[in-house]
Amino acid sequence: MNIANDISTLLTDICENIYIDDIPDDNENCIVIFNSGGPRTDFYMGGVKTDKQRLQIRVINRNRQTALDWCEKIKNNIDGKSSFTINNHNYNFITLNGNILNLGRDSRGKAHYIMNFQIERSCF
Amino acid sequence: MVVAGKNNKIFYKMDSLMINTDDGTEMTNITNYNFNELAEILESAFFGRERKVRQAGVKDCNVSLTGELLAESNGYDGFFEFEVGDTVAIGIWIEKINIGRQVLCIVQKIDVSADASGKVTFSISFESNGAVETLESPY
Repeated sequence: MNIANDISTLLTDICENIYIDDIPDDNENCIVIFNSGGPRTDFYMGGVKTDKQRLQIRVINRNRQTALDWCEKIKNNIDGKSSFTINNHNYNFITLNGNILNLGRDSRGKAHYIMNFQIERSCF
Repeated sequence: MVVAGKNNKIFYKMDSLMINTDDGTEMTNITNYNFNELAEILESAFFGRERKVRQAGVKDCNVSLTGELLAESNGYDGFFEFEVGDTVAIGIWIEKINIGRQVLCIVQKIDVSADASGKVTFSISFESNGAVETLESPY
């Protein structure tokens, strides 16, 4: 399963509406996780490789303060998380690159914030 | 033909040389190895000769490995089976061209380091205590 799908399972306590790579057309408050490329894979002798994926997590909420609160919860949930398993995939760690970035409001008046994470997953 | 480094394998066995690769334990999570075979070179200069004369002296070998400790299920239940001062046979196997070399060594150094924002890395150095031998595949 895709890394973005795996990471979305860590955020369901913050918001039920989580989407991958698509901002929904309707007006709901949501979290969208975008696959954002990443550096090359690391290979190891012995058949292991480490997938490195960058994810951009976008928080969209009509209430700006709530959006910020969600961002802080996302940070608390996953920034620095290490050595864990999701869907039988072994993750080394997740780190936040930089910090919360405000993108203003969209045409429907909803606040947008983004955070960029780097994730490492070992594949045996 | 390019031989990809990741297809190489490292094997070890405590206290004796390996009969073949099946007789050893494969090490995982290795990022780099150096298998150095050396010969001392003795130089002589003689009156009346325009060039130096060189002769091979004693031979030596040392091996070093570096790697990373990754997430669970990486094959390491604890730490390494060997300690510094132990006798271990270390072998390298280069796939695609099917060449293996091994040597009985003394574990000279085990280094573990950790970066709070990164992974735990290790490096191990071995000094040979015997001749370099061929490491066979069982097939």
